[in-house]
Amino acid sequence: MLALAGRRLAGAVAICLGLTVVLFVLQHLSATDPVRVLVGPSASTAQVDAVRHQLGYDLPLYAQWWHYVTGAATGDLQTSLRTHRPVATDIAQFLPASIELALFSCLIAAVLALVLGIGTAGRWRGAAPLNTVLLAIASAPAFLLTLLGIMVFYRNLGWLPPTGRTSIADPPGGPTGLLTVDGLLTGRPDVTLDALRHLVMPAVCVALLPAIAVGRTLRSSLTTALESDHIRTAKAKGLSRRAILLHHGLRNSATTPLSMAGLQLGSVFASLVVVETVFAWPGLGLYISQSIPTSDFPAIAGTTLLLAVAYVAVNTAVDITQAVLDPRLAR
Amino acid sequence: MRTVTSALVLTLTLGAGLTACSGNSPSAPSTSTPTTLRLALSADPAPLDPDTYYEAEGLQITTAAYQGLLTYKPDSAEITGLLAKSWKVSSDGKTYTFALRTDVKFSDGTAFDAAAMKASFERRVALAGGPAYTLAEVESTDAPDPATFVVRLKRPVAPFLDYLASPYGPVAVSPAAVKAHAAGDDHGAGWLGAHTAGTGPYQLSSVVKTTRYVLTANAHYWGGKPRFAEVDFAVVPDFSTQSIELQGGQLDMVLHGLNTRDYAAIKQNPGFQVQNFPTLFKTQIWVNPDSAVFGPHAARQALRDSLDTVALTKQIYGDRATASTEVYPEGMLPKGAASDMWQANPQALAALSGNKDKSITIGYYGDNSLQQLANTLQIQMQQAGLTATVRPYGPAQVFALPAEPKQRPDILVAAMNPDAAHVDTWMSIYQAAKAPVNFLGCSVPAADKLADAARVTVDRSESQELYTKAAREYQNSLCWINIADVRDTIAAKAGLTGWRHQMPWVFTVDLATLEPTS
Repeated sequence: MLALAGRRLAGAVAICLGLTVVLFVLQHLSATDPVRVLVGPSASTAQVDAVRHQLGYDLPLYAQWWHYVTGAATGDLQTSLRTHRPVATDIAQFLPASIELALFSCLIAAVLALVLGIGTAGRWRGAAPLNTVLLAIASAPAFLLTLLGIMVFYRNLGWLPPTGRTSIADPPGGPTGLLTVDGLLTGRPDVTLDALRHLVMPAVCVALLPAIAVGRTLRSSLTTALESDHIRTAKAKGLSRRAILLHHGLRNSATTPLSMAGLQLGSVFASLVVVETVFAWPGLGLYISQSIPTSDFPAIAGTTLLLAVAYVAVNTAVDITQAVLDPRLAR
Repeated sequence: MRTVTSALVLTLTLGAGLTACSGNSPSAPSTSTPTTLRLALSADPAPLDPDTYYEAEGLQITTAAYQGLLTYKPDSAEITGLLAKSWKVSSDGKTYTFALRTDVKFSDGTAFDAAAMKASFERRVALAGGPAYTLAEVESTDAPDPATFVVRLKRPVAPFLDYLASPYGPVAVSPAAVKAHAAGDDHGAGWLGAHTAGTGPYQLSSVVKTTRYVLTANAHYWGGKPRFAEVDFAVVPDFSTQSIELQGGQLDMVLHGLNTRDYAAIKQNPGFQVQNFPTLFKTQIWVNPDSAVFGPHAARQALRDSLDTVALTKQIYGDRATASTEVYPEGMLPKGAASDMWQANPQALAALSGNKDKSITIGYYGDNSLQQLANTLQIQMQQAGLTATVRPYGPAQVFALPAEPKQRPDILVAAMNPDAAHVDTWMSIYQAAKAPVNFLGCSVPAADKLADAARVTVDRSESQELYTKAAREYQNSLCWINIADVRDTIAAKAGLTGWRHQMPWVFTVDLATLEPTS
């Protein structure tokens, strides 16, 4: 198991290094001028050149890359051209909101995937219509779902707030940065409740597509497993439906949906950009979506690196979990 | 199946429990007079230090917190005093003497005087941010007494008074606050990125980056107490969400960004109002002089003649704009001095159908209206036998175009807004051959020469005459084809009164004069 984790860690370093190269080449090819955006249209060419020199944007590309990589290794992700603050500081500020949203989305996605997978795998009358509904939802673009959610649950029903993380003017500033947790830790359940109300819509919007993807994979695996010989034997032995499903069906069907869940993390990250923008959720998705138009390279590169690390880490965790479930995979 | 049912019931119960605790049902009517005005920003603004801040989103905050020596009269290009009561210009056009108000205090309670204005000018030059160009020709400043401020220029600068009235022009920043919060040689820029220390009606009292900015009334404001004690800005990047929040009662005003259909729908609702104000914004078609199709002057002429600006403006903007009739925005040149109208001929483009090269790229830079205009042009081009592709350009891409000739589209649809109501702020920024944002690299040397001469000419009418001649040269090049004069369109809840607006202050209203209703 340790060897597997070690191999994955080495892979993660290589992936991040490769990613920085790709980012620098793309930035170089993109024909953008972030310095002009930074100093404004009326600034003189001399002023623009001075700022370009100050930021090191006049160095050869390989020198810029080396400067970036050596800095990143020590935690210096440079300064955002848009916010004028260190990218590491920006990330530290915006990351908790994204983590909270991603965690709740994953939780909702896991519950929904289980419900949908098990619900549609059974031979009951509603399975086919439910499957059709799932397909329809899976086809809807994220921005449409988010706007529909706001229209229905805020504008028409008035049940949920439309934007932001909280309506409370003085939420606790720590210790975790997750408002739902900090509310409990600081003895302010009103903060937790308010944060949960703000979380519902964005989390469901992020969760829907991965839930359906994982749920459909689970359905397929479960359907195959439930028709296998050992399940027939279990039935013949007189085990209950629940025992068969939980102890024999689900366990043997879990590896493929788990792989899919790890891969779906990419879709969660992609959804965060859209969902955080529409719901004005102050997380990394919103940060990066506002950095792209101005070609704020340090912000884009820093956030991308972080997401890459998270993606590799989660998929490593998935591999390890699969190995626990099926020890043959660890070899 | 019982498991599935139980899970669904649990989920629904939890959801119902959460929503039952809802405290903000939309449109909850209030019986008392509101003291907080709720607005939205579509992007998190850059640090709000007025000497480095140089963008449109967030201008509503800086203009409410800071004031300069001069300003414009509402919806006019006429300059009037603000922190200066009056001013005199020497006969050589190089020395400006301002008589300052003596009843002004900064939001930190310290007194405003000539020494503070001198320090503010020096701070702007030292920080060398984007707006520092407004003081590039300043040789020295002097404060002979607390109520007199003198500026000496290296040479005459025709638009200098407009620079001082510009929303990006030099403003008074409390020297005491700068000194108290300076870190190293940053002149307090770190602190002033998220705080304010000006003489305006409001001061920034709270900043949560990417989330919320709160202004509170400046207790030391010299111009009378603002009607709203607090102005709360939420960062809501998506305009559709802003529209829903306005209609749901979460916002009191949307400053810009909605589409024509949204405005029309809001206007029909008696609970809301839509205000239109004149601006310096012009929607234009920039033509690439190196384009294989539109390079020849005759082709540009055909393009211009094919455009029915009245119909296009109505189709794209509804009543949010009027078809352009002058080369430059209103007030920049005497009315009629640079008239810009032609008889539209939809068939004119057919002259290009015999071209060997028929493939063109239509770029657009800006909001959905400009995308719609680009799409409309694409249809016209295709009907004329050309193969047109529409491509969006973001800020970083479009500002790179002057240095990246190969990236330039054949034509670019953009709406531009100068920093001030002086024609030089248009010509020298967008049109001169060496202009920093002459996107498509069009060069009209004769016009540049006239504009350069006009810029240093002391006599105002003589200067205007030179600028007018330059305007005609730029116009004749057909590198820039004007379509519409765009207004600032603001959607707000009904009952808000006391609207006041300045032409160069884009997406901005005067918060101090707005009045709430119960």
